[in-house]
Amino acid sequence: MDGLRHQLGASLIVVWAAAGCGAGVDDASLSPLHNTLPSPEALSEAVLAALADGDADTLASLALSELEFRTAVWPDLPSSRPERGVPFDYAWGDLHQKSGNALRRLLARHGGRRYELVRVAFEGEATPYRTYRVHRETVLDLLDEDGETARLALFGSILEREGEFKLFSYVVD
Amino acid sequence: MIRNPTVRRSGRHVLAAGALAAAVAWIGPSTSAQANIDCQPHEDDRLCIVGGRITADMTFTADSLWLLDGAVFVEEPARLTIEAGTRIFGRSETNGTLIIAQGAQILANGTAEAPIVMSSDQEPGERARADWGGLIINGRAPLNVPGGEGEGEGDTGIYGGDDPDDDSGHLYYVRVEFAGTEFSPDNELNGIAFQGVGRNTEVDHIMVKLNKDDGLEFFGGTVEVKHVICFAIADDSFDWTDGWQGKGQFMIAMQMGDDADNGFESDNNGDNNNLTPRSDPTLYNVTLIGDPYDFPGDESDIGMLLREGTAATIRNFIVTGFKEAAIDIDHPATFDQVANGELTLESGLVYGNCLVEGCMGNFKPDDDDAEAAISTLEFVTGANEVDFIDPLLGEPSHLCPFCPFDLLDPTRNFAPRSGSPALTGEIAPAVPPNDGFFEIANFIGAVGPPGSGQEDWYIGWTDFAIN
Repeated sequence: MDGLRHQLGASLIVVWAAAGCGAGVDDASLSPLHNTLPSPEALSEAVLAALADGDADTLASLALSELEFRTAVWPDLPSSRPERGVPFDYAWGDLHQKSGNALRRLLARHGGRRYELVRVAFEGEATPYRTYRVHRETVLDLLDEDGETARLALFGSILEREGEFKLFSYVVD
Repeated sequence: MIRNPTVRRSGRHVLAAGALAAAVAWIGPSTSAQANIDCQPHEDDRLCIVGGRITADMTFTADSLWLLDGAVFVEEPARLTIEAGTRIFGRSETNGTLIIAQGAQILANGTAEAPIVMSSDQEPGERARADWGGLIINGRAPLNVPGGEGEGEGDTGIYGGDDPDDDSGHLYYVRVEFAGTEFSPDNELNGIAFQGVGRNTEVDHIMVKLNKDDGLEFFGGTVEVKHVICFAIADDSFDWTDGWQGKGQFMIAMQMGDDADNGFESDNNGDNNNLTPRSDPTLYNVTLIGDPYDFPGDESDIGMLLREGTAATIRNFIVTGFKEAAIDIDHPATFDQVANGELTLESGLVYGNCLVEGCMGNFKPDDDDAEAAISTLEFVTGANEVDFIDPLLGEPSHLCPFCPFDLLDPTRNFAPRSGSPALTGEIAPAVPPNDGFFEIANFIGAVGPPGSGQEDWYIGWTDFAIN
């Protein structure tokens, strides 16, 4: 039985490698992502600018929408597999609620403050999915208005696809 | 359809995890309102694979191994009874998770000699955090989320309501281990999530070990818990938010610095810090043990993080070993609770925190402190019978003079040593209310001296193996 499992695992690895974690996916088949930025740094700069302006709508638009989550993200998540029994509405509803709460906290805590980005780092792993990659536990090295340095986790993971970057959510756990 | 177990057998051995999971073909989620349960012989055991929705009373018997295949919902009016000694496994391949829906009940009848164990389906030695989902209980007790209901942690459905006396059953002698996998990035599951759970739900002797997200999280509700251990939790050991108004006594958190956040992460409401019912638990006899040095990692942040307007009554506590701060209060609404006497500490020992380079102090001075009428430092140092002396927990460790335990030793001793100020009366303990829930406990911390009746409650039914 273990041998069978190992063979299966090896096969899956081959399939994954052939797919190149999205490299083999036809771009035309990908569901669109809107308001993406070309790098984690550009995305973080956009967040900081909107945060300084207290612009909740722009901040929200920099994270995944329900449509994007449904069409571009959910199909590749393991939780979407039928055998897991997790309905999409539960998965999106919970993430969206938590992200919304985290965004409101972020605005209450840092809204109106101006930070200069020094560096983007990820304290978590980068997880490859079929058509995208998720960089986890984002932290920003910043200079505040007094020139003091700070390392802050202002939002959650960053999704990367085909050179485009978007916030997965504002959940900082 | 449900096929209740009928086969009996004597001997058993440890679940051969991966082999077990592969031994029986997956049977798929039920499209009807009933669970899929398939029981087959497996080596010396009988294995029952459960998937889908349980809508009628059923029992997980101790004569079988139970494998949760995907998200398993127990739905009103069903009651899931679990016999003492039953072993339940979350299937890692399908993120097995057990969800008790509103109006349903879990009747977990473990004992000190035969605890109920909910664990990973991987082999001992290969188990790790996030091997499976965890246990989620949804009740009808109040929250302060507008409307009184909210989406459950990890997408488990609606919880909360207007019945503080709601009854979701009971958990006696239950361990939840190696859980906390995610439904998506940024959305991991707690070991046990109490979501709008009411006070007629009884929780006594539970342990959450090596969870990837929080150990216990209380989303509103009024549930009361007693004799609780959270060990080596990767996020917060205890977390409350959205108006938890319950009680707790004899609570231990012990962290490992490879991955850990706060002992308590205590919130009222993130959107509006003054929503009611306000988070306001009453907690007696608490021991929070951080991981003070950089081995096996640089995490284990704050002993008690009190924020977002929470109130609380915390008595007879020990906070030791946290790297970032012992106690931190954030947000003006929380300081308001201090000022009006709704957030209070009394009878505690704070020692051996903030030992790493860069730590700003036991009470993490920040902007909120500067703007508050009473800073965190003044709040704690001004509290009645709170001191900063060594509680003399357990046995000295070879790793460091302040470590109360050897973190790699699977045995644990949470009892203060002879002569500890937790026991001698040097710090006068507060007397718990005589309300039918709290027990007499004339000592500081979660474990009492010999003869107290609380000296060994954590021994026998617990397990501290880290993989």
